[in-house]
Amino acid sequence: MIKIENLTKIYTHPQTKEKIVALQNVNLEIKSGEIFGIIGPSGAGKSTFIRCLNLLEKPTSGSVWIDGEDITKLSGQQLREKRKQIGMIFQHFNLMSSRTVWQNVAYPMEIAGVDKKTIAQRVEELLELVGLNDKAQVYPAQLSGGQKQRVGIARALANNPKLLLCDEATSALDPQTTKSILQLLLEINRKLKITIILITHEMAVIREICDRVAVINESNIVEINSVLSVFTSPQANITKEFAANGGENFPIETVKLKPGERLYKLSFVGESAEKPIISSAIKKLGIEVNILYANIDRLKDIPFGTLIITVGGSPQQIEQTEQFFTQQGLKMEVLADAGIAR
Amino acid sequence: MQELLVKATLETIYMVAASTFFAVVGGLPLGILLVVTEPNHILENSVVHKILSVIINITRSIPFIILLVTIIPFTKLLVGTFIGTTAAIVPLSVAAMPFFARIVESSLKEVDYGVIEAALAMGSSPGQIIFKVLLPEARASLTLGITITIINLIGYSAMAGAIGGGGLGDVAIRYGYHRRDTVVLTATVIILVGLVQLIQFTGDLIARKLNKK
Repeated sequence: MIKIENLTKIYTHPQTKEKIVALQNVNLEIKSGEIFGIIGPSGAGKSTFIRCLNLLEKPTSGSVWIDGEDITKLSGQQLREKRKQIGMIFQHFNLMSSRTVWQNVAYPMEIAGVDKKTIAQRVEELLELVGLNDKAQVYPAQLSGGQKQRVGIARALANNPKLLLCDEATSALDPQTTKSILQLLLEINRKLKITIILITHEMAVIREICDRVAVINESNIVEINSVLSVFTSPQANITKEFAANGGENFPIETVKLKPGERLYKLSFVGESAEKPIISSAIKKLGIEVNILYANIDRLKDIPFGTLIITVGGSPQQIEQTEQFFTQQGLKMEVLADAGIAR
Repeated sequence: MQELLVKATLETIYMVAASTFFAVVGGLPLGILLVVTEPNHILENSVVHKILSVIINITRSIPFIILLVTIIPFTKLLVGTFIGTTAAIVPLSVAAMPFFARIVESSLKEVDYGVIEAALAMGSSPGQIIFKVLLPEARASLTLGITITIINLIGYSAMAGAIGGGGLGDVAIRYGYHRRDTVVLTATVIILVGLVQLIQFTGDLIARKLNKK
C-alpha cells in the first residue's frame, strides 16, 4: 500500500550552505492495515521520514507511493486532496486554541466541503469513538494532554483516512496516558482497518501495539522486522540497545559459578512463556536451578519473557537440559561456564 | 466652550475612526503578506517579502509631522483640499497602515507553526490557512494591536490638528497655546486621557473574551 523508494532528504543550511543528510536512500514497504513502528534515537531522521509521507517535508529525491500514486509528483491541488485522505497526529497535538473541541474536529470536514448536517453527525460519532462527548463545547486549553491527543485523533479520522501518521504522538504524555492513547490507536486500527505508521523513541510504544518495526539510525534504516523478531533476536547494535529488557544489564561478572554450573539467558515467547518449563526440567532431570533474573513483558498480545539462571549438574544432565530447553522452544544463550564438576 | 469641545471631540473621533478603518483595511493584508511570504512559511517568497519590508520601513521612518507635509499633493488629489478633518484622514491612514502591518505581522507570528502544519497536513489551501487558522488564532492579539493603533492615531490626530486638521489637538493649540487658555487646554487633555482609557479598557475586555488559550 505504501512504498518508499530511495527516499533522501538533505537539508542545506541557509547561510553556511552546509549540507545535513537527514535521510539517505531509505526503502520501505508498509502493508495495508498494519501498525508499523519506526524507532530511532533523536536526530536519526525519523521525524523527517514521517513528514515526508505527506510532504510536510519535501524529499530531496526518491518516491513515496501511496495507493499506487507517487505523491512527490502531485501538483499543489492534487496534494491537498491526497492529504485529506491521510490523517496525522502530533507530539504537541497542534489543536486550534480559538476553536472548541467540536469545531476542531469539524475543521478537516469544513475545508473538504462536507455539508453541515453530515459534519454535525460525524463529529458526534468521532467524539463518541474517542470518549469525549461531554467535552464538545470546551476549548483545548481546558483539556489534559491525553484528552488533547484524543481530540487530535478524532480530527485526524474525520475524513475517513486509510492512513494515520503518528509523529511522536505519545512522547509528551505520562506513561499511563500513553497506554490509554495506544489502546485507542489499536482499537481504531482494528475497528476501522486503518493503516497506522508511528514514530517513537520509546520501545514500550512499539511493544504495545506495533506489528512490524523499522529501526532507523544515522539517516538509514538498519533493521526491518516483526516486533517479535526485533525483541527475540535483534540484529543491529542499536536494535539490541532498544530491545534491552533489563536482562542485558545483568551483572554477569558478579555471579560466582561453582564447578559444574552454567549461566544461561533464556528467552521465551508466546505459549512457552506460560508453561512451567523450569520446574519440569528440575523434576525430570534432577538438576539444580537458581533463578537470578526474571522478567515477563507483552508484545502486543504475545507474552515474552527473559530469564537468567544457573544450572548445576553433571555434563550429561547439562546436555539434556539444553536439549530440553530447545525442544520447548526457548531461545538459549550461554553467558558463562564454570567447567566440568570434579 | 462646551460646544467647542463637543465638536472637537466628535471631529477627533471621526478622524481616528476613519483612519483606523483604512489602516486596518490596508495594513491587515500587508501584515498577512509579510508573514506568509517569510522563508519556510506557506507562501514563501523572499522577493515579495523583502520589497514589502523595505517599503514599510521607509514609511515608518518618516516622522509623522513631516509625512503630513510631504504628502499634501497626494491629499489634495484625493480629497481636493489639505485642510480640515477629512483631509487629515489621508496622512493619518498612510502613517497608520505600515504601523498596523507590523503589528499584524508580530501577532500572526505568535501563532504556533505546529497548528499551521496540522492544517497543511489536513489539506488546507493557503487561503484557508490564512482565514480559518492564522487570523482566528491571532484574534485576541490582533484586537490588542488595533487598540494600540487607535491610541497612536489619537496622538497623531492632535498633530494633524496643528496644521488645520480640526479636532481636540487643533483646539488645544489654538486656545491653549496661542491664547493661553488653560481651562480649554486642561479640558482637552482630560478628554484625551478619558478617550485613551476607554479605548484601552474596551480593547483589553474584548481581547480577554476572545482569548481561549
